[in-house]
Formats: sequence, structure tokens, C-alpha cells
Amino acid sequence: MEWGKRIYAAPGPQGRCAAGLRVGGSIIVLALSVCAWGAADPNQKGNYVSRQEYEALKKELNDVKAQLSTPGQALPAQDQTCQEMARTRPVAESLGLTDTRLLITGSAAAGYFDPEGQSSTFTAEFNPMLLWQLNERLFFEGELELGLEGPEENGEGSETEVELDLAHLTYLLHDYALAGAGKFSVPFTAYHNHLDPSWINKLPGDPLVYADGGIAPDTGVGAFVTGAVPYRNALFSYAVFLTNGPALITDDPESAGSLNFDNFNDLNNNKALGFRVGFLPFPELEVGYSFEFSRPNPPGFETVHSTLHGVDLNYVAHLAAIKGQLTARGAWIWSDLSDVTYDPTGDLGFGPLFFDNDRNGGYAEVAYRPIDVSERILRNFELVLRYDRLDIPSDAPGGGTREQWTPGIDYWITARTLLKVAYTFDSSGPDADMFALQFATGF
Amino acid sequence: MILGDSHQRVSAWVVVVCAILSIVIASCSTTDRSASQTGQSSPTAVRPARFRAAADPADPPGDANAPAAGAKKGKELFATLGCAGCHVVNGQGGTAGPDLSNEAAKGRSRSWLATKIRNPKADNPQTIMPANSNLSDQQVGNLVDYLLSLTATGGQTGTTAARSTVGRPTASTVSSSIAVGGTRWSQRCGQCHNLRPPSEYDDGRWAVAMHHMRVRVPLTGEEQKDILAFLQASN
Repeated sequence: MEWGKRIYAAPGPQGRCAAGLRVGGSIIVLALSVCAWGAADPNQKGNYVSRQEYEALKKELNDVKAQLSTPGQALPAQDQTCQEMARTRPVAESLGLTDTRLLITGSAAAGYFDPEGQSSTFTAEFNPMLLWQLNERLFFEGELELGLEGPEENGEGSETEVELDLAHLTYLLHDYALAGAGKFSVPFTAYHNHLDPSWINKLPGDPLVYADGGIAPDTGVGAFVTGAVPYRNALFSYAVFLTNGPALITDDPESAGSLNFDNFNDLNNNKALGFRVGFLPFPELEVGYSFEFSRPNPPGFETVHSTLHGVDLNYVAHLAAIKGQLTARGAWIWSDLSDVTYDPTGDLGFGPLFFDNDRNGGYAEVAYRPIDVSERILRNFELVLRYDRLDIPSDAPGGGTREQWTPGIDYWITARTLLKVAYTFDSSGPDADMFALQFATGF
Repeated sequence: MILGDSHQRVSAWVVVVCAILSIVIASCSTTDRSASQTGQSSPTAVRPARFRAAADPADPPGDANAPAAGAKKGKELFATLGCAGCHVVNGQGGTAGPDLSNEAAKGRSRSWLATKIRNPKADNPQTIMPANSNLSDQQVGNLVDYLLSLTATGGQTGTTAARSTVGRPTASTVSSSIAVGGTRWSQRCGQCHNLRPPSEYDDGRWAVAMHHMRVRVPLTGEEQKDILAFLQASN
């Protein structure tokens, strides 16, 4: 009703003015539209093309179709690119550049550890790995270990820890052997070479024998030869290595008599020599035996011989009877060091100290993942249980037997990303028990 | 308010439990969503096998008049495509994927199997099985013929296929380097870690990764070449 009144009511002076403005505006808009139409692309004469233009386009399209459908006939630009590639390829090949390939991979993890007797803490680590295939036979592998080092008791000293974990060059000799040199993962038992990346290790921490204060070497500087040889339906693998060897700790009252495997210098011009032989009677099972001999005493100290032995087992099977994958892993390591007296004169304040320096330890781990059940959520879970043991002579610093039981649950988010939750029961006492949560990924 | 040690520990546990529950719930919701899709009539939905036993209009073509011939072609394809690298059939093959010796007895329909072959992620986004979208309908049909011809007791219906011994593959048990490589991939690589989906790397990256694994594991030169052939054919 209001609308009708406005239309049909007689306009006053203000109304006449407004109507005039509306009419004027309309004329201006119309004029601008006409001008814009006139100023448009002179070649664009409406939305239509002439018959001549249509035929030209059609001919051009047919020519392109014919050119593409003719085998071996490339477009001019493509042909030029091919010619350029043909010209430069021999040059690149003569320089050995065509087979060079780089790959950056590695792992990363973030964790939360809550020991009963100490403060809880978050952790983070990052292990980028550079793989460089120089040609079909030459290969370089380097890995950094970036972590966070906790503070001293006074709260000072927190820092980012950067270590050169691996840096070695290998050369393929033939189908059954390759040789390498540099800083490499010592093939003493299978753990460090195969199982310790955070996305492969099914629990947040390393087994006692491989952790700090353990009795197995992890990395070393030297040279190695390794390979595998098939025999009927079985496979034998082998590795021989020569490294600068570990260092015997002689002057620390808290760890005298133990070996420092993070030593990368030869202390006495005697190298550590070792090997591992593996046997796979069938693909699901591998057993191995490892040995290392060294003279780890520092200059000026009594000669000490170190002999390490290790056996390891790895069994992974997909069993229909239990609707899933069963993993059983383990290792047992025993070491024998010459029995000598530490701080014989008592100058260091803890001697003379003498003990039978035989140390043993190992771990056994079983895991089950129900990958055949129909519920997808269940297929992503994996149950893990690990037993750890480390025997140190009771007379030695830090001596005694230590045992750990660690049940855990993993949730696999992808094939190489998982969340681990575990609780460790430690025989050292309730204060040594620890809750651990870790998120790990391989990339 | 200053919290004591016990309160701090409880708080930390609450945070941890909440984090785990969040992840589980997120996974459940994904699962539930997928599960709910299975009951819908979406063309990409995959319904449970027991509901799909009857013939489906979307069934791939097989050799209806000569199913044995189709199964024979499917068996050849199964070998040349490297399916045995991950799947056990009659006690032979890799263990990365499920045993396929008994698909007929499980009530799998032709369309369910065909979808699984063409687009394995349709009902399981986390699977590492590569898609086979390049196969023709006839080839998929032949593979389905072959899988449905297998019986629970081993061997093919109407054939004398022998149950081989479990062990390392030989030239007589698999027909190509790719197939052998697939088996070795699941066996050797799967011995230490979950298998990285082949599609994650291109040919060049797989060449580098396999060289790296040869240094670490170690592998023979033949194993390295076979596994690489399989990965480069599957990525």
C-alpha cells in the first residue's frame, strides 16, 4: 500500500528534484554503457565468429591432432627439448652425474617421561639422514642426532645436543659383499643396525644392554665388509669390522671398569676387531652370533683385553591362528675384561679396587598386533612386553643385577608413525619405575 | 594455589589420558564414518561381504562360460603383478597382506573383490596396497575368477595346484622378478619394520632407499634388484 501511494502521489518540490536526479543518473549510466561498449576490443565483434575464422580454427585443430597421432613426430618445442637432452646426456654421463641420487630421510620423536623418584620431563629428538647414491656402486650415508641435554643438578647446562651419528662411504664389490669406511653402526648383534630408530623400536627407550651404561657397542669409526649369501632356501649374512674400539674407564669412581663405547679415538694403537654372522633358515626367523675383541686400556694403564660375545634372535610372523602378527626379539651379551686393579695407588680416592670384571645382559621382547581382525581400530594397536637384565659385578662401581619389566601399548597412526605408552617396573626399587609416552615417526 | 607433587602427577596423567582418548576417539569417528558408508548405496561404498554374495550389476566381467579359463589367466596375472609379494595363496607368498586362499568361503562377492583390487583404500585408507586402476575390466575379472576358484583346503577348484613348501621364493614358484621382489619385500623388509607404501617414493628414491637397506640389513644383490623392481612397478 505504501508503495502505491508513493508512485501515484503528486510530487512536491523535493520530490520533483529527486525524480530529476534519478532521470539524470539513468541517462549518465546509459551513456557510459554505450561508451564502454564502443570502447571494447575492436576485434571482438560480438559473441560470434565468422565462417572464415571457424574454418581456420578447425584446420589448425586437425593439424595438431594429426601431428600428435603420428608416431615419432613431436611438436617443434618438444622436439627441441629432446634434441637438447640428447646433446647434454653424454656430457652428464661422462661426468658420472646421471646416476647421482639424493634422499633425505630419518626419524623424529617427542616424549614424556615420568620417573617415580625424579621430575617428569618432555623430550624431543630429531635424526635426519642423508643418503647419497653417487653411482650404482658408491653410496654415502650420513646421519645426525639432534637431542636435548638435560640440566645439571644446579639447573644449569641445558643445551641442544648435536652428534654425528653416522658418516660412511660404501662400495658394492659384488652381489654378496660390500665394503665401507667411516663412522658406522657397529654390527654387533642386530639391534643398533636394524631396530633402534624410534619408529621401529616398539618401546620408548632402548634395552638396558644398549642404553647408556650398557655393554654393547653402538657406533664406531673404522672399516667394514658385509654381505649375504643364499644357500638353498636359507640365507647367511655376515659382517666383519675393524674400529678404533672402546675405551676402558679407569679414573671415574662411579664407572671404573666399564667400557665407553662413545670413544672414537684409538687409545693405544690397537684396533677392535669383530664380526657377526646371521642365519635365516626361513624368512621369518633370523639368529645371529657376534664377537668383538679389543684392548681398551688407556696409555699408561695396565694392559686389558676385552672380549664381547652376543647372540640375537628376531622372529616376525603373520599367524592366522592368532589373527595377527607376532614379533619375538631378543639378545644376550656377555663380556669379559681382564681383571686389573683400578686406582692402585689410591691417588684417585677410590682405590685400590679389584674385581672380576665379567658383565652380562640382554633383553627379550614379544609383541602382538591383531592385523587380521575386522575392527580397524583394533588392527592399529600393538601390545608389547619387554624384559631387560644387566648383571654388573657386585664389587664394581654401580654393581649388582638390574631387571626391568616394561609392558606397553602402541597405536599405529600410519605405517611409520606411532604413539607408544609404557610403564617400566625396575628392580632397583619403586623410585626407578617410570611412565613413558612417546610419539615417533619415520620420514 | 600451589599444587603438590601428587597433584602434579595426577594432572600429568590426566593430560596423557586425554591425549590418548582424543586420538582413539578420532580414529573411532573415522572408523564409524567408514562403517556407516558401508551401509549406504554410494557407488564407492563397500558393503560387508555377507550382504554382497548375490550377483551385483557392478560385477566385473569374467569368463562366465569358461570360469576355469578366466581363473587361469587370473593366476598368471596374480604372479606377474607381484600380488604374491604380499598375499599368501595356498601357503605360498608374502605376509604383508591377508591370506587370499579362502575368499570364496568368506562370501566375498565379485564386486567386493574387484573394488578391493582396483582401489584398496576404498574401505581401508591406511592400507599399503597399491591401487590397480590401470587394469582393464577383463583383467580384474580374471583375477576375481582366480581368487574365487581357490578353496579353503588349498589348491584351485578343478585343478591340481600343489601346496608348496614355505620358504624363500625360487624361479619355479614365481614367474617374474617383480613377483619375487614383492615376496622378498614383505619378508625381508617386514622383518624389522612396517612396510612403507610403494607410492611414497618415485623410482629414483626407491633406488636410493634400497641401496641404503642393502648396506644395513644386508641383502644380496639379487634381493636388492628384485625388491627394487617390485617397488618401482608398484609405486
